[in-house]
Amino acid sequence: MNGVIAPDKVAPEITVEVAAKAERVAAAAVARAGTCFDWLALGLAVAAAAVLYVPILIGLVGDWTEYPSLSHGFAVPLISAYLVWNKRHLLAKAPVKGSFAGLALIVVALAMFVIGSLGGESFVARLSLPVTLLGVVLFLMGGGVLRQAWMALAYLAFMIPLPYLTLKALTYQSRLFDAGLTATALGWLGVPVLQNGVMLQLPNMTLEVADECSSVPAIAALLALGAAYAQLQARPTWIRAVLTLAAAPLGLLSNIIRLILTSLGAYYLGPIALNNVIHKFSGTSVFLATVVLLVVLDTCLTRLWKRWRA
Amino acid sequence: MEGMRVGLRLGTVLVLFAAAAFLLHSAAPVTGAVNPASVYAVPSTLGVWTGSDGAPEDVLPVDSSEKISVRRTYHHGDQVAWVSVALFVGQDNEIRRASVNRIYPGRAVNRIESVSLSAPLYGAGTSPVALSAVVVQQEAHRLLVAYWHQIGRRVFGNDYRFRFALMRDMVVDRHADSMLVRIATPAGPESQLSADLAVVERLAVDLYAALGGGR
Repeated sequence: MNGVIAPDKVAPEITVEVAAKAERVAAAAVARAGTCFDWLALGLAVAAAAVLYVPILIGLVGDWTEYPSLSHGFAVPLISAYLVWNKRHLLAKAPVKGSFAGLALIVVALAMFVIGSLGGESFVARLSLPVTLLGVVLFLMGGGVLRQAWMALAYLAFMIPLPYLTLKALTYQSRLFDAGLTATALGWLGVPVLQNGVMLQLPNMTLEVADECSSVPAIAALLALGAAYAQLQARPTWIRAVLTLAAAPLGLLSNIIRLILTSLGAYYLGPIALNNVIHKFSGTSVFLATVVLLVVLDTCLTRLWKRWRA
Repeated sequence: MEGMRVGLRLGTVLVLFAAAAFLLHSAAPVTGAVNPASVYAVPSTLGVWTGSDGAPEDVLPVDSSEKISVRRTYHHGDQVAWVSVALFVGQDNEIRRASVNRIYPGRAVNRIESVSLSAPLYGAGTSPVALSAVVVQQEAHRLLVAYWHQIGRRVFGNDYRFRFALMRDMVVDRHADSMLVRIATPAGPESQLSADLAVVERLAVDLYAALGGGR
């Protein structure tokens, strides 16, 4: 215990001096609100990041255009910008005090960007974009600003498609799961059905729960939808969390309902149930059904919360 | 003073961005590797199996991304096995990702079950290498497809490990070719699965040795 002074042996004058010093340090550490120059610097850094990431952005736009299940990617940057705009008053008042932790984050993100780009792993390179932006905000503006902006920046991750290998594995499992639940529900509804893997054998035809019928490709879109919907109005944090997390299971439920309705249509009406506009735009119908379910859930939760508060 | 501090930080960010851009633009293009294993080394006989050219596309799909491939059908008595060895180059191309859909039949398939398979590819005394294998059920038919990715002599039975190794080769060496080696046989009922796997394991060992893997 050499050199250590026991707390009960500390003289009162030393305690006062330490407290005063701590007060001075704290006063010096009080951060100021952002000036025009701070925001201009941030704007320049974000613009430079946009230029650096042009090849990544072109690839992303190409994917959103090519694959209908990824087309929600177009909406994600707009929603992210809206979330920032929504917080503009809080951002203006937020204390500005750049943190060197942000520099470390930028270095990690740029390493991901370089390695992902050189190694042909677009997911790694793409994921580095929101990380870079988070790092830039933390480094230039500090934790106070990041606290207000992190949700909008992290939201950008929803525009990035999952790695193809993972997506493929998840899609197949989801097809099996969807086929199993649909077969069970059809049995309850009195429709004779035999499930063989992802095939549903009805008396008049065999249906395949194909990749396009799986809920998985839509999960990212639905999670993005849930997160955006939860942020739209002032709500308690727990309701926001529930709405964000509920989007994926509600999307699964919408898809199962669609599969059951399609199978019922195929059983009672024949092939016309498969060769129609509604079936062709299945992704859109699932998306709309999920929005309706989210609104219903939101209404229920808000009423419950108001009643509990009263 | 504060303005200078912010300016310095902005300068640091811009320098880091410029460094990243420089690294990307100064990197050499990805080129083909000198591969010790050759696609053309697929033999006309594999142990007791006798081969002929060609393999049906509905059993082993052809991938438009492959540079070259050798496809053979082998017979031993009333048994049949199909082999495809394909070479892939320029793997930093986005189009390559769809290749995972072209390893085994995907359409009109009732069920795809992963099965455990390992083979002592590196020699009798070495530990067996885990390979990817699936049983594909199409109506009344069952097909056992075993495959691995090969970079030089290195074998990858796991798709993620393969992608990681490929990424490492592309980042560090800027050249990477890989081969996709597939063996397919008609699979019997579940009770015969271990016998079917033993057949494929033997074929895998012989094929790897023939490709230049060495024993």
